[in-house]
Amino acid sequence: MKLFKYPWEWIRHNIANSIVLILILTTLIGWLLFVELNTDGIITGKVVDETGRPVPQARVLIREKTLNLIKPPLITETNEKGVFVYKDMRIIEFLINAQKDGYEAGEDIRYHLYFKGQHFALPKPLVLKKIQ
Amino acid sequence: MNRKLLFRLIDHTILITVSVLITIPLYWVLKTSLTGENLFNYPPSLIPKDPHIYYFVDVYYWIPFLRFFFNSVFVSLIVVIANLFFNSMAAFALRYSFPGKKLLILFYLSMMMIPFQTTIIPAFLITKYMGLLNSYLGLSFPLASTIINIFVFKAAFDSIPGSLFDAAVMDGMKEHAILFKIYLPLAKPAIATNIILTFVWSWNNFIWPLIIISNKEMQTLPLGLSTFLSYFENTSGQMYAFVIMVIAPIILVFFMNQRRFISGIISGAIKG
Repeated sequence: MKLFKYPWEWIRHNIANSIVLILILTTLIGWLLFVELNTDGIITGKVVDETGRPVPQARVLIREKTLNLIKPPLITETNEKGVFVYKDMRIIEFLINAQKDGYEAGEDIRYHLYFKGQHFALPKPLVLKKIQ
Repeated sequence: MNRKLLFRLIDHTILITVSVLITIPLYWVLKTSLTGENLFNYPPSLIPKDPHIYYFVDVYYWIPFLRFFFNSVFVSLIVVIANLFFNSMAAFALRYSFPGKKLLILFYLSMMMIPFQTTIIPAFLITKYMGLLNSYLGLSFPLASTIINIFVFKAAFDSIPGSLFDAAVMDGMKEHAILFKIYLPLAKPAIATNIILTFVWSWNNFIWPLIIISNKEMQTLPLGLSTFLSYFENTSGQMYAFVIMVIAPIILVFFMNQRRFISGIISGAIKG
């Protein structure tokens, strides 16, 4: 097997392999950087009613889904702007819903994250319907 | 259209069809790992719908994937290094003429015909008496030297002119120096073949780790895959994602060395 004195000599002789290796390494380093920069464990979102107005003091329940069970809920409340924030969450899959007296119980919505501790803002607000 | 062109067209049509047929199961595994679509869905869809990588995330977090991966890589590295070392020395010894050489080669060839399953109990007992159960050395022990790879090296060494060996001896080189400084650098395809074959065998090895490993921390990827099967039904996306994660490194190693691998196998087939 040909021995190379310097790494760049090996790269010059194995262009295709080098490109593949560099791509893999770059992707890996990029991903690790992305994870490092987005790993504050914050899950945030908004609760609104049918008309789109924020619902303050709504209870938001998050239940972690694991391999074979759904854990007991973690509960928080929305502020006056209908926003809720969970901090230091180390989960990858969860069910979330919102509840408030005078409103119908919200349905569980399932979300999946890419890594534990991912900073995640719910793409859609949780909607509560008023009891007629 | 002349006759030659027609035959080439037929050849290529057959080759492309066979290639596609071989690739379909792999594509199906990849597709299921990205969509989780049930294998028995009818009608089956060729194009993945709403692909995502969440099944890979699940596998990464639900089992100690990195630990299994490290175990597999480490054991494969030990196996590859041991094979290069022992097989090249064995093949180099077969270069010499000595009484009983033909008998030894016959013995080697006959040993190839004995399936590993029949020797697994003595192999286990030996490993146990050596205190190598639940260890990396124990995992790599049965694959540390493989006869087929000795013959791959032998074929490569036989093609090196004897005058080169004589010249080295006359210059005062010792046997190990002749092997490592002259013969091995001239046997690149044989080295590549050894690396790939032993890496693949070690990576895919299931039955031996299953027998000697009782500690979960020491499990390799194929063993982890079988444990994983007990959690999921065989149509789940997680299982297929795990399969992809197990086979991806081996496919990468093959593609990066396929030119040398094929030339090594062919030279072994011609001269072995």
